[in-house]
Amino acid sequence: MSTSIDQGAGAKNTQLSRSTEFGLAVRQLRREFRLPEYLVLIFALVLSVAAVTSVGFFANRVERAMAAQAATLLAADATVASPQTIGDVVRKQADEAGLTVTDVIEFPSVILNADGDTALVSVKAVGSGYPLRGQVLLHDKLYGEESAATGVPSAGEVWLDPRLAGSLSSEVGDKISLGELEFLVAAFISFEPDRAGDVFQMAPRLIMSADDLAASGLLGEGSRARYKLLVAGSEAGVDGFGEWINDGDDASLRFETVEQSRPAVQSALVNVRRFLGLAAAVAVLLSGAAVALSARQIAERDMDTSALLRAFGAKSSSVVRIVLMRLALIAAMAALLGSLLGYLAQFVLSSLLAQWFATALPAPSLLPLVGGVSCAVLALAGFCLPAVSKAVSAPVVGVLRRDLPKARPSSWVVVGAGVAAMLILLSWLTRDAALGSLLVAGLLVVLGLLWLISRALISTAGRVKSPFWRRALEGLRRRPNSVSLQISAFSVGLLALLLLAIIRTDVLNAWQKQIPDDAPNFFMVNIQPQEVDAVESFLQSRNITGQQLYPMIRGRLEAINDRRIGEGGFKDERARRMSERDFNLSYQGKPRETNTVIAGDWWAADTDQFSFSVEEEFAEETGIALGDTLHFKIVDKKVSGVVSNLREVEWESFAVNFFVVGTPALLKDKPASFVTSVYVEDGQAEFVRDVVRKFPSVTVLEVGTMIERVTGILDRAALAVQYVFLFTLAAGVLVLVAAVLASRRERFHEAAILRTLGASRKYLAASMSREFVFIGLLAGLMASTIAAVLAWAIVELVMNLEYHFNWVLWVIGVVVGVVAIWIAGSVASRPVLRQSPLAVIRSQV
Amino acid sequence: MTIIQAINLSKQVVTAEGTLKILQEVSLSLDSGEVIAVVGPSGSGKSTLLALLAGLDSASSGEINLLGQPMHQLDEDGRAAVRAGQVGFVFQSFQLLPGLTALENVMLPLELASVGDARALAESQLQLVGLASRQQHLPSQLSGGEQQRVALARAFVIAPKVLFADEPTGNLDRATGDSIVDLMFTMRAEQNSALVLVTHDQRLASRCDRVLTVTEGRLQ
Repeated sequence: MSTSIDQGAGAKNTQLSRSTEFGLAVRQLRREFRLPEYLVLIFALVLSVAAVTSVGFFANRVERAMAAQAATLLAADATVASPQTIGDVVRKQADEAGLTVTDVIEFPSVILNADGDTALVSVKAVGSGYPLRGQVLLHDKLYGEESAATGVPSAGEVWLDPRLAGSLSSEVGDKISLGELEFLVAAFISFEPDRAGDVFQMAPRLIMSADDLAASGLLGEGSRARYKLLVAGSEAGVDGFGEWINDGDDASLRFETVEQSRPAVQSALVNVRRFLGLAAAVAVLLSGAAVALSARQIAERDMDTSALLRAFGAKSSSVVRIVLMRLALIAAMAALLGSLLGYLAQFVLSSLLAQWFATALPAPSLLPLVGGVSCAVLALAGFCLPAVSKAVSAPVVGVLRRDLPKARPSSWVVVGAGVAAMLILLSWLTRDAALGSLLVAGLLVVLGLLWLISRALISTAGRVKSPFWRRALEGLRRRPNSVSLQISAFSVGLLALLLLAIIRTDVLNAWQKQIPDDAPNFFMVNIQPQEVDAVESFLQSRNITGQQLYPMIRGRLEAINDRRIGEGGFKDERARRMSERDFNLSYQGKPRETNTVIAGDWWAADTDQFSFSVEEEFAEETGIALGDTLHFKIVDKKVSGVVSNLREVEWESFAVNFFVVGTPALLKDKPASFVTSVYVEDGQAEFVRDVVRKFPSVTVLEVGTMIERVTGILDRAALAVQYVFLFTLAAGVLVLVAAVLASRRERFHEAAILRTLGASRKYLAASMSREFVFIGLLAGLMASTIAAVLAWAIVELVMNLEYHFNWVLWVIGVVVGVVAIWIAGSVASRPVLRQSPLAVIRSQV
Repeated sequence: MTIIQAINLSKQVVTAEGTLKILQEVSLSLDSGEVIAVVGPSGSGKSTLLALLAGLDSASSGEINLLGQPMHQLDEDGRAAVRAGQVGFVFQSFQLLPGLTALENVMLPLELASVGDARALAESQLQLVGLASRQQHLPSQLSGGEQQRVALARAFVIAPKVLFADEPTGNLDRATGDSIVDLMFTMRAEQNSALVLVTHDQRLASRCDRVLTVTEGRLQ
């Protein structure tokens, strides 16, 4: 029976080989996987990784799309953009710098097919040589063979966005009307280099030759067009040209290289990514709570194992390594499974937001996996390691004495590690340390408040005298802290989902509903001064009366008093955008009914003063005060006036309104186009067709379609964020399961004693069911009610709209709370009912 | 050869009510292959004495030499190094790792002592205790008697120079307990291991070479 051990070598042989340690870690893990606390730990980690990687993979695809197209993002090495025609001085300078140039002019318009159907298009008139970098890809028929374009559309020909093939039933070879000309559809556009970053594409594209522009009559003075001069050449040449533009005194010219254009393109997506990251972060945090709860039970189990291993002669360092290896294995597995789930989940995310992108997104790189692995490691390190590492130093004498108190790490260490992990995770997920810290603080406050409310509710419920509820509520009363944590964690997930559901349905609906029935449903823009009378009589002939045509003049704000725009920085990004962009100015003598002067006085209708009236919110954003002198540049002339009043505007009326209005004396002689909004009750299609035929240069925009597009974009964004919040809800359920498991030992004993005293399984099951129903009811009630209150605050206080309480969503919230918690709780506590009381009492599980 | 030499061992703990003396001035020695029983009423300090002798806990004062190593001068890891591959344990509550199979539990001390072919040795040891067919069972799938057999296989698989047994029959019925004790004594005799047996059972104590009685922390 003797073995081959070298009897004298014991004291030297305790340094386990790494492979032995690894073998032990693997074996231990393989067996322990069946234990529910390990399952919860793994699920929680998988969920965190999936939430993070789904957003990561999606963002990666978008970034890759942008990176792949960066070289051709501008279709040039650089561009000069202006709201006005770019002058010959600029072209001459480019020529001197040895640069190749071409023109691109973009503006909205309406096209008409042979059947009289109309469609809004985004026209792009291109000069010969376009694109200077990259290439345009065309289809010879709808989604047919793809080929690179040679040159630009010939005179009298256009290339169309394939989307127009559906809306207008146009095909290659068909004729369409645009402005005063008729064009032949020569091809469908498959890829357009400088549209890659155009995230929110509103209207389908039409590309025509810039040579046709003059004859089409589409652009008159003050027309709303964007002029670009594309340049390409040597780096030194481009740089020198850029410096010349930037140093010049024409502030309307904007020089942009690929590097400069990218941040602007990305900013919208950065915001969406931030929201998605936020949703993922909340899921990670709740999963962290589940990890922490299961870590506590794992640590208790580890104490026995650690003591036994050391009783048999293992060194502490070996035991530590075995624990770390096991955690590393768990992290690796969770990272792998979670990343796979995240990869699959991002397909849904991409399809939800697909319509935002001009081109199909490329496949993601493996980079987000780094994020997934880091998330799993960080969650384990922050939420699990403090508890488990304490188990390693459990007294060895514990193998002899079961009554020793369980060594638990200090609460400060546990909370500190958790908060540190949260801070790192959130700062990384939101790409903003300040926002990350704010979120951690915010989430802790929300959880704390929910916890306090549930504690108060539980304490009130504990006073119930009904014997039916007494047993169920006894459980709650005895475990108020743990039950409150379950309720709070689950409520956070449910609350987020309900709030987004309310925003998607009620808030967007409320916004759409507050638009009056007879609000204008069409905007007519680009009306040339010589067309004003004709347009007015055309409207009268259609019984559309009372609509005024407003002059619209494009200008750029150069200075407020003596302060040039941009000097001393801007209040925020919004203020910068508002101040720097080109303005649509107008002039009028009499005040408008839908405008209320809130500071200063409106001028006399026939005043000869040079004054401005500014919309109040715009004034606040840009720092304009009553009495300030505003200096505008209109075409190449300077126009200055004093702010004599501030106005409040009812934007919801959908009437034409302007941020800045001047006196006729100040602006009447400036180049203007006219704009109006009209309500057309019947025959809307005929109305659009007739306007396009009679006034080819006038663009008709349908308000309904615009609202649909805007709400569509908001709806998809909310849906995408809501989708990521599903991970949060699942994490909430996991916290519940983890909490039920944490109290399982206690439940086992309660159940064993009750059954010894004669309670049936049915009785116990019913009693536990009541407890879970009650927990679910509290969680559902809190989530639904708080979501409704927040929705009310958003609608009534922020958006100034009328809030209608949504009973259906409120009830759905409560029902989801009850059902989800009942199912999760019942499943988690099933072993309690199955175990024989004798076994429980004997083994002291 | 002296396996254990304890001189003036004392253990005291500080509680809210003052200092509690668990063991006072205990001296004993154990020779190779010798079997001693430690008996005494509950709370007398038997298990504490066993823990100190095995180096599972440290004494407040006094000296312990286990297998020639001064345990009182060693830290936790040093004491573990002395135990590895040389000291076996049998506990009242079996102390099998719940996540490992019977075979893996037996392999554990071999792996900790870096013994090659741990699996084959563990399998033959399980065969010796009559559990060859239960190798892949988890502790929860075994009866109390079977679990204690696995514990015996685990204790003897390294051919320990000394075995510490703490109430090995305490959780078993009499018949099962007797068969376990018989098996333990047979295996010990075959390997000529010294045995320190803590027990309440006078019948069991009477099978040992010497009986040491602990009362109120003192050896009588």
